[in-house]
Amino acid sequence: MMRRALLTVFLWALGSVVGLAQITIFDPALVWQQLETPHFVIVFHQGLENIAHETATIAEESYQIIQKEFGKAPAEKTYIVIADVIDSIVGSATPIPQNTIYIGPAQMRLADWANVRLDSWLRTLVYHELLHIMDLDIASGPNALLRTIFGRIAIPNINKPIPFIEGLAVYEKYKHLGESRLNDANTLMMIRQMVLDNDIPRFDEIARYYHRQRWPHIGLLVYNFGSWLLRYIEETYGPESMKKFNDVNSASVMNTLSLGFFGDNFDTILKKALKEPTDEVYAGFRRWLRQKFSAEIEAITREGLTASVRLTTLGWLTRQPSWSPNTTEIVYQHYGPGRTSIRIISAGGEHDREIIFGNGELPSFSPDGRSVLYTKLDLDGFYYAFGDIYLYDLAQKRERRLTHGARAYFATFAPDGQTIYFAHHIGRDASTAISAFDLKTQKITPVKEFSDNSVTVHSIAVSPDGKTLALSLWKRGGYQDIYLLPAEGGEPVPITQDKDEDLDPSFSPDGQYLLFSSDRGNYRVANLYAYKFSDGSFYRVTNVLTGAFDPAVSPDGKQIAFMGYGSDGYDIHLMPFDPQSWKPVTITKEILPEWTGFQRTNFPIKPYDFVPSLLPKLWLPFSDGKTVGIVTFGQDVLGKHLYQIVTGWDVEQSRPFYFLDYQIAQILPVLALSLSDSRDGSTQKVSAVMPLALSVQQQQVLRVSYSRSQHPAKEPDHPAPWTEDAYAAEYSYQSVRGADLWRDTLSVSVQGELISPSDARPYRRLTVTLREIFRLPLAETHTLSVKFIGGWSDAERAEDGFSIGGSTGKFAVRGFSEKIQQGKQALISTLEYRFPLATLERGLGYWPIFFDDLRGGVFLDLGLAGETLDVGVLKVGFGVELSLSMTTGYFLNWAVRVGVAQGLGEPSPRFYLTIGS
Amino acid sequence: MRALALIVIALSILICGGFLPATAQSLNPVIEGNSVDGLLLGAEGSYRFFGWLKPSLGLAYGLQSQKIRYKAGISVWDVTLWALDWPRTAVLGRVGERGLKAALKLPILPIVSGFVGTLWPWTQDPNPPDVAYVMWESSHNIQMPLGIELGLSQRTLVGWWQLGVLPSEFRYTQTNLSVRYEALSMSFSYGTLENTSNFPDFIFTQGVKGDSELIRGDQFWSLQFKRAFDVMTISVPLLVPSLELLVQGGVFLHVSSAGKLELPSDEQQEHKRVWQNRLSWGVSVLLLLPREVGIKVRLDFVFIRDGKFQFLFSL
Repeated sequence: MMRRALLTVFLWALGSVVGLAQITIFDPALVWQQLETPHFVIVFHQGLENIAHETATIAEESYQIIQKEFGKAPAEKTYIVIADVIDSIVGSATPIPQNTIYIGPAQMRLADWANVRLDSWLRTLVYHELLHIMDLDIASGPNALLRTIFGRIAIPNINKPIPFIEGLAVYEKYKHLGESRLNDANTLMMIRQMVLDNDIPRFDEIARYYHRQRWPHIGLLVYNFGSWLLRYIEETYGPESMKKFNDVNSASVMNTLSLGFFGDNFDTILKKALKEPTDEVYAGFRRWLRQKFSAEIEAITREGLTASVRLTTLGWLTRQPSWSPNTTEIVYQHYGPGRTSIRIISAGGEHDREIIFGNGELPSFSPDGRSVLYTKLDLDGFYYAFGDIYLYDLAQKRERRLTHGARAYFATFAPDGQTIYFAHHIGRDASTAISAFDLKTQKITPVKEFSDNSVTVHSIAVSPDGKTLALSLWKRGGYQDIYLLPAEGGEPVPITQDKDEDLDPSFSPDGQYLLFSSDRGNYRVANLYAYKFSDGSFYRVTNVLTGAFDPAVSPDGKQIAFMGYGSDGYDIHLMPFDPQSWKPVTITKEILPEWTGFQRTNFPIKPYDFVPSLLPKLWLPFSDGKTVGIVTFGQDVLGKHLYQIVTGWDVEQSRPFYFLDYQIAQILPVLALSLSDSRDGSTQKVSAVMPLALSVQQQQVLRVSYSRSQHPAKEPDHPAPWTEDAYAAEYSYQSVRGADLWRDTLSVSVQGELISPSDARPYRRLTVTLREIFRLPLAETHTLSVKFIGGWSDAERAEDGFSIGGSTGKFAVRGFSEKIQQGKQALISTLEYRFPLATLERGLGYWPIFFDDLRGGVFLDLGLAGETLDVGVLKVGFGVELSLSMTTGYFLNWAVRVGVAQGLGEPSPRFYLTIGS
Repeated sequence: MRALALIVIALSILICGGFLPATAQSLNPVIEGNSVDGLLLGAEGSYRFFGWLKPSLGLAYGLQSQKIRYKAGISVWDVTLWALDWPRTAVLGRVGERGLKAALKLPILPIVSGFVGTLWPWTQDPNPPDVAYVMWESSHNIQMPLGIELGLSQRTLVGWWQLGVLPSEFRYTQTNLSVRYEALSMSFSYGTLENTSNFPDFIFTQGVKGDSELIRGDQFWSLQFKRAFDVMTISVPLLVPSLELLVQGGVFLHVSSAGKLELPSDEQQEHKRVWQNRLSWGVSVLLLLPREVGIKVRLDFVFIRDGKFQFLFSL
């Protein structure tokens, strides 16, 4: 089993896929429609009609609850876009340029990230994201006026500590729906461990997104832990505390003017709302947690704790132990700082090593012990990212993809070594099914389809005789239970049937017992339980303080491997398989509410209309002393049309100016048009972008463009007005590979241009850039990078060629002044080593500024430019650099770099300062 | 006569190979070009008997020189003796060598070889000199973790010419350091020579990819950087169903520099070392069919130091 709070990390781990899914356009074969309710416009494609109707009902119900809570609601309708393009949990909300919620219907192993006690997985998503929309939409006091004038650029609530955004959504769900991540076994366990360790994080540690080095990861802190802070505030300072806080925060003009880059002092805001300084509020919160959870700890301990041996030591997200047939090794999945992999460790705890780099999921050994079976998400054509089944040959160290487009997310071998049972999505409405894949014939045979979306398959285990499947299924109403199903199909028979969360069934090798994890009991502690087939009795196998998940009995029947939890996160633990020591318990079945299928609403459905969402919603004024103007941008909610307009008045030249960019992403390639007219002339440009991505770990893009520009005369190079036609093409490539901490990130781009000025001979330019970053297997932050850039042109004028020097830009050679050499050709090479100096992780009081870490670097720059490339005049610079990573506002991560470089032959070193990511 | 005897022995053993307990064999085509023979076509092969005896024979015909080239050898344990008239020689500035050659190859220690014979004649030197040389060659490859391979090789040659008159010495040393990680490779070479006896054309000759102009000197250094990467694999439907074409991209840089002493002039009183350098860089596309088919097509787009560029195609 994986914990539900994994959502954020899961998306981080697959960030490239999600990012790519957002960049890549939707499949042109999708036909989009919209369903309009009083407060929402729900946009969806074919196959999602039922989901759209359910979303409409849930969204309106949620809207009423949240409006009552905040006393405010958005003036415009909120868009909800539902798209089935990725086998990953997708839920996001943005208030800019208009209130929009994006939902992916794929629910997969729902219990890994959500509190399954809620009746509908859609409610979990929609309520959470709608709360963000209705929270971030609030603009009070002077900000309400700014919103009226400048539109949706005035979003003051975007500047508040993340627990007051994400934690708020989790808390409000708990407050009004009774269940959320706040009170699930995972969060309770995490806080219990914090109290046990006397290590409750400081406020500045939980307030923003940053690259946190320690467990718990920042996602767990801002969502799960943060929700407890808000619960404490409302229970202590009154049930309207969050409303009061939002009223004050959303009235701060500084929060609006800083546009997410900075923000108001949080202490000032909270003090106004609660009449108490943040120091005291947070100190009280910590005391409250200690008191509350110490009592739980005492009560659990009183029953006697189960002893186990911690096998793995990497902590963080370590899961899904699976034994080798000879009981000597365990394969497992791990995600932690610098590592995303499938690993193997000996049963004695030695020789822990990575076998498969990347995002392989839920591994298990084949019955012959020669291979490891797992699922993995990868690109499926240009428009989709789906899960498939993979087999890794341990001897040949080779991965084999068994299925293509199967949408599989869990797979396990039958004892015959030929049949693989797997859980996968069917249809487009997130329905799931169990199928069998025959390794010899490569044929897929359906075993059981839950096509009415009433059931979600979480996990599968195959009995030792191969005749029975044990399943963990989630059913409508919020029931996650264990079932048995004949291997050839039929109706699942419940073993458990109640509101407790029962997951990850596993047979004992003799077939007498079925083990599973469950959070039943007074404190929602996840423990291992066993069901005895002979008499139908149940036993509690463990009594742990934190949690026990993912049981796997060793093939020799002597040990149980399971996922335990400690100060560093999750690890694999071992304990004896001793039924005599188990405590008999009684588990009774509840009657489940009947799922009668999707309820259709009467809201009308019509074809998707992109115009209303495309209209400009914000206007940002600007002036640089010479010009005054406004910026606006917008896009329709499907991202098919996107534009940016900058326009205004040139005060110096008494003339208007404009810059217009428009992009259309209906089909590939994505086309863009840019038009501008300013004091520097006018430009018309068309471009096309074609992603050639083949896999998550290797991405390629091809760009071509044509532009024509007209410029006024400018002495001495252009004594008369002149025009220029430019044709450009660029191919870029990026790949990521690795082994354990070692990472190799290669980026290559080749850009060619043909430029034809009206007052000079046409010329060509070619720029080749290669950059390779090796993360050394020492720690997560030691990197060695190599950069090579070559430039060639046949331009007549030197300034149309290339110049080297300076500390910034593509052809920088640190230690020298800019344009130290110039000519038709240029070559640059850089070798750079960066290393960690200190982990700071400290905020500056309650201001939205946070110092993440300090890194050092040493570098060597080589550069050469001229009509002829003569190595004899090679420019060599070397130096050292300090880099301070920080977060400002609560989202923006960036770094300040200060360096000193000495150029060989230069009289003195040069200092430089750069700001970047 | 000695050469003829060796050829006869080698041929006899090869012919009789079928009757003896041969444990390994190799037979490879010879297809190569040189400035004397033009295109050289033939084959070379070897047998191993009893685990310690390995005769070898190479025969090829030069289309331009219209000569038959041979290389007959016998290896007994770690010692090999050849009679040869074969292209390639360790002597700088020369194309091939004819004579007797012996080599001793012991584990760990450098390979020591010696040659006595005549270097091939060529247009600039129609009456080639008789030479003898001794050469030490060592090569070490170190496999590092993560598939990184470090290489170090060194060659030292001491030779003599004017053997019948007044044997005069010439020598050179050449060192190569390389780092390779999968398709990324960097190598640095350095060499220096002594030729106080003015052995003709005994000088380092260096060039870079795409530049026909060569540079010469008694010292040189050379730096090469290459990075290839897999772009995509394409199934070729018209060929065998499973045949897949791998398309690779690549970026390369090659710098060479050669230095020689310039004689004193009116302005300067002492010898001055003058360095010439050459540089080329560019991008490549490689089309690779599976190893069983063994076809590799390489397209290079090369820029050289003066800004000229050219397109190279190789199969």
